[in-house]
Amino acid sequence: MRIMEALSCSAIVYRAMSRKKWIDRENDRVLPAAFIRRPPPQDESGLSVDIASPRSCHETLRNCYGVASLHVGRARDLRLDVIVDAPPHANIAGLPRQEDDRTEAEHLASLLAKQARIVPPNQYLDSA
Amino acid sequence: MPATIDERTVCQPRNAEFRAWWRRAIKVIEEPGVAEDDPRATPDAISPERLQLADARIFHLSPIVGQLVELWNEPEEDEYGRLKPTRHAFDTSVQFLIDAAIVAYPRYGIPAGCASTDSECGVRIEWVRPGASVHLVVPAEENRPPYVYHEVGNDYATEDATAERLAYWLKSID
Repeated sequence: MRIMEALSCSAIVYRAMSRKKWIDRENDRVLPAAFIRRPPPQDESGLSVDIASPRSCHETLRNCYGVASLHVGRARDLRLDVIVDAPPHANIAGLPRQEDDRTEAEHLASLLAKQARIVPPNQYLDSA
Repeated sequence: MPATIDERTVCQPRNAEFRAWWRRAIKVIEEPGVAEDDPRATPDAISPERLQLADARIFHLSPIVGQLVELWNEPEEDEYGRLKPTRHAFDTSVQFLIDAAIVAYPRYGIPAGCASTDSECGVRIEWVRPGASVHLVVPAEENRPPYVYHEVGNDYATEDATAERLAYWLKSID
């Protein structure tokens, strides 16, 4: 049975940067590429995020190039939602795929990228 | 053509010279030996002309082509999906950049942008600024058309990609 837990609008969720090219290092910002849904069977329920912490998010991947934070309430302002399915995993739901609506897919990816903030690595990496 | 190319030398020639140089630089080399079992596999090397373009220090075209060359040299795939661009996506995106630079010349250049691949080996080039964004999206395979997304203020749309439209929207990028 799926767990459908509602997050408050003040909640912060974290998205793992699976690709180093998702971050514009020169300007320290997340790029829209990080918020494009993959074709089926990937991303069936939306884009993966972690509700627990930057560290928890970072540990989900063998090669994680960064962690970006998002406010749930601000995602809801875009008529998206964040649905928890298997804590700490959740999905940003409501994003179209490019093949279904390329304009909205790009627009929402752009807006999410503007909302996203790169979490400083010292918040989730152990110091040497 | 001088032996050492820098932005001052390449940005100054007459338009015909500029166009001829670009055409030589982008000459497509026929690709033999693509694996039959996976049409997206990209085992062959990048043409010397394109490597030269990446190294030519043409402001900001060469850095973007350089990012595409970096992607070309990545492993075929990673945890997220396919990583290395297809030959089609690579060639088409470089071609769009060059043609847009020709269209924009001499009034505008290609602004600094960020290249990446999607999970299917298509190419994305994104120019993101506070007031405007432009995305060039070139899918992995030829049966899906490349497109340009623009966002200027509250206006946004996509359209099938042409060098002219890409150059037009890139004018919005500082």
